[in-house]
Amino acid sequence: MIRAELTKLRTVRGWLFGLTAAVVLFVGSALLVAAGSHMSCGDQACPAPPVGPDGQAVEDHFGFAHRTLAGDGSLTAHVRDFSGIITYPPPRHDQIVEGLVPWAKAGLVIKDGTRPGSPYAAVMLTGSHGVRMQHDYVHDRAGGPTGARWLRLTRTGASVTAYASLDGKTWTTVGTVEMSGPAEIGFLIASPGDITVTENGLGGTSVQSRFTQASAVFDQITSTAGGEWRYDEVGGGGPGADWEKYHRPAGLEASAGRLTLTGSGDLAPVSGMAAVPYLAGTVPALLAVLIVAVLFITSEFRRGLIRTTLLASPARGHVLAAKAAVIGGVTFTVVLVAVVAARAWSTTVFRANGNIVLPTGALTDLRLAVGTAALLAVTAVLAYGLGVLLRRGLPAILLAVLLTVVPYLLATTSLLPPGAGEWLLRVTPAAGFAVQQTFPAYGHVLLPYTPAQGYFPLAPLAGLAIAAAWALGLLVLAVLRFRRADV
Amino acid sequence: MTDAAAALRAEWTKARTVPDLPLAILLALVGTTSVNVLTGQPSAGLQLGQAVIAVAGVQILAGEYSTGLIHPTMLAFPTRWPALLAKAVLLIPGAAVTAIGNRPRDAVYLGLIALLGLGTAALIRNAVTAAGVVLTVLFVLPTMVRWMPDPDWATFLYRASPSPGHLATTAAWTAAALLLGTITLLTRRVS
Repeated sequence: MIRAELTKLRTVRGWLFGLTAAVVLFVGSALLVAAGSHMSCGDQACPAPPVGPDGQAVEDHFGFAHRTLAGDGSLTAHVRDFSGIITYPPPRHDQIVEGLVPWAKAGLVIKDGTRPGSPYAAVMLTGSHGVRMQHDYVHDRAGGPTGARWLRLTRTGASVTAYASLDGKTWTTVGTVEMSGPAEIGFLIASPGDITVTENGLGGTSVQSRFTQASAVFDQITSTAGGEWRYDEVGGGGPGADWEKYHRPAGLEASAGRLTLTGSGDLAPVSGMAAVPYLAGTVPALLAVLIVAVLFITSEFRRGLIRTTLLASPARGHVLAAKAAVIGGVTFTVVLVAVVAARAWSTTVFRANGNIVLPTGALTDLRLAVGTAALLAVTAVLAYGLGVLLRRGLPAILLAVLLTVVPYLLATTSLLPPGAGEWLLRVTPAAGFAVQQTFPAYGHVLLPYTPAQGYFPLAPLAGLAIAAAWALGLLVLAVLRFRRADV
Repeated sequence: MTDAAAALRAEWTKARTVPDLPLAILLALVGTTSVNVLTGQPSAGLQLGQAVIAVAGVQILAGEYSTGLIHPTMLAFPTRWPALLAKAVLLIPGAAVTAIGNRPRDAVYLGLIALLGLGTAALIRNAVTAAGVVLTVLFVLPTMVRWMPDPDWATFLYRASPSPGHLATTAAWTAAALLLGTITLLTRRVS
């Protein structure tokens, strides 16, 4: 039965053409977008961001006053003052104001040297998220009493423990992480850019980041590590903002048991940079696939071929299931080939244009490739199910597009308020697009995690499951109806 | 001109007696209005309505190709264009009705979209493929805007996609589809 259906799919010229078109659209769109992406930093190639211990591209830029920590040891300090400036914040973007962004950081850190991207463990006071313990860029936890201004970091053997306190006498543990080897211990200051989202006039949104600076005064310092406090701007060396040139440079001032540290930057996974756009052709390819899937069944009804098919194999449920398996399986295979080709080809073009290829991890790459193939296969089965139910091609293709492409379009553009858009991506079959989210959303990095920026409200597999449930539900309905219907 | 009048009458009879067009208009009207009320965004409902209207525009002609009705139609009007003209004349008010409650320019937009569907159907003939092509132009081009890395490309693509905000662009798409569709209709064998 499956062989018969495969033969039909293979020999009808229009369907073969449709599947080929899907591949061409997928690969072509990826190439087109990659070819249009250019990046240049003066005359030379742009520096790639450092890679953190967990394999992500990271931002590692902060002010660091440090001493060498040979073995075990601890550092305790009181944050006397924590303040900063934000340049040109909303709504009018016309003045520089005093204040801290929510994830401005001042605190204590143990770091494996000053090389950007090296492992670290830190306890810090933040602009508006209280005391946090963070390590290796992607891990973050809250802790300590509310309003604590005393911080302590100790290393015993291979474990680093962070404490916070209200008065410097009773201490609360914030967390413990593993970290061994020689290290530098000291103070950190960081202040990420102020993020604002504006509609870009093209039905989408654009994200802007504006310079901020934080400044912290540490006193009542107790350190087991000896020597001078040496200052480094980790990951620095850029031209510097106007504010740093004309008002307050980044740096360290030491006086009578006090350290004043001023700086900008962040210790966090890289955000706001695009991955290789090899999935750009998903929606065009999806439309070609939908057409083939609908025609795969409705033309049997139109031409009466369905009677022959049912004469040959009278078990109607089996016939429908075999056809669903064929259209799903063929779509999966074809799209998988398209994704692999698009990825290889567009990565070359993307890199040749001077763009930075961010590491995504083998598991993520696998999920994106197999997930995209599965998404299109599931959607093809859904369209096929609609075709069985409605028997006519036009209403089926219309409904298929209204259920999948239109919710995706509405949610990823500014046509709907963000809340309504995310709701669409939870309940409609377009939820399956969640499988294409490349980077996870981090709670400790302030960004607009919206569908327009490539972030989905559901986890990848959960989204795909919603789409699969739709397809399966429609297929079951179709089988139930088709069993009793006249052909 | 009697040909045109007769064609219009024939098409009116078909439109009245086959449920496709009235059903599509009803569906588009109900869909558009309910989405508008639900979201409070007049442009959101229009996205739904335009899909239905575009497909109705395809169906009014491509449906004849799939049932074979096209043969008597073309026998009755051997010059062929009166039939196409009559369908266009019937579609425009049908589409415009859908935009009740929206801005007047949205009615013009939906009329253009219906004709885009009609022109594409004349060009491609297969109903599902024609509908797929029209829906691609309506929905896939706008989703590609966000992938465009270069702002100039993105702006170009945005301006080149039909949308209620760009009536001139939409009219250009419609004119191109109708021109190619009419040439095909006049020159190619019916089947």
